[in-house]
Amino acid sequence: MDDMTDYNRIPIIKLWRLLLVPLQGEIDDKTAATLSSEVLERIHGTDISGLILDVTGLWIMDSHLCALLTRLAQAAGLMGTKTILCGMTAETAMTLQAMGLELDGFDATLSLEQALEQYGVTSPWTGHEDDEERVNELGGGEEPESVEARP
Amino acid sequence: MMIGRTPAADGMLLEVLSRYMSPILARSVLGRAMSKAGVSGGRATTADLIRIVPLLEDGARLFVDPAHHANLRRDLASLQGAQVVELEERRVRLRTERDISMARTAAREMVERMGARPLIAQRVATAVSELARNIVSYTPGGEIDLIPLKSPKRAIVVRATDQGTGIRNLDQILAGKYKSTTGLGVGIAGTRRLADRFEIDTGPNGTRIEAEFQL
Repeated sequence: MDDMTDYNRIPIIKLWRLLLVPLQGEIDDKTAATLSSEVLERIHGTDISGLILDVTGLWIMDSHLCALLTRLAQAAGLMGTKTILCGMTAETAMTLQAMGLELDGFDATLSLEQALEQYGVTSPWTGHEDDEERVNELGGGEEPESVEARP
Repeated sequence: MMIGRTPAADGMLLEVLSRYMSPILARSVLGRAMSKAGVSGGRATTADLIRIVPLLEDGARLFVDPAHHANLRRDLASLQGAQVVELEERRVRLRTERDISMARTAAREMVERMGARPLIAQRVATAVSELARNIVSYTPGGEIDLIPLKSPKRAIVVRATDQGTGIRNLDQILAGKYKSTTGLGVGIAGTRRLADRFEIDTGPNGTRIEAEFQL
């Protein structure tokens, strides 16, 4: 079997004062350790006020992975950064619940949009009845004024 | 293998690929494999499959969830007229972290092929992941056997065996009262809750856990 290490690198995306981590693929201990230290360094070094762990790309979450994410969230918490977990599938949620696993240390939302809203990032299209129409009006390149990223 | 001169092979391949990725991606993966195989578009025959399929498998790897690789391989093989193997017992040896992901992927594939619903597939894969993790983290090694059952009900038995030194404070662990910093207790207690039948036998010469899941 060929080495998958390179594909396993998890991106850390900065969104204003938030860090977004889309978890994906097989997360081995080495990948996890690299991820945790990179995230914590970024929190330490930059003006970050929130961390979002997006698990949409994970097909399975076992107790080991949960423990790992919990430790990351707790460490971020010690540095004053709140963590939100989003994108968990119904199957994963039900499995974790059946196992009696508790995820301490962070809030959870269904979607990435809801996670962003929790941090006060609002959609520029909120309040418009026909979202698609509004998107077309704004066009692709314009920077809508109502986008905000508050701590 | 059936060898013919029907130019329908492109379409068949595209149809199989499209089950695993978007049609646009499928077309591009197929296009690259065919050009590598030296077959021009729209001209593939069943005789070309033997060259195109391995290239397709390589090309598709990047875009298909690792958990679905074996299913894709099987679907492509069935186009070549190969016999689809009957479900049989499977053993995964456990030494390293990578073996853990192989074990849970194998479990998911097996139960999906047996027609399990996504929630059940997830339960089985998670339980296998927990058992495999414990073996890799706390013992010199072991194995997981995946045993498909057809009667009286469709089910899968997951048997985890290791040559470790046994689990102390098993009672506490099973009662959910024991919490290690590493998560050992959570894995075993959690697996027991997920399974329809759970048996554990542990001693100084090793541990054997059997968990059965009805599909």
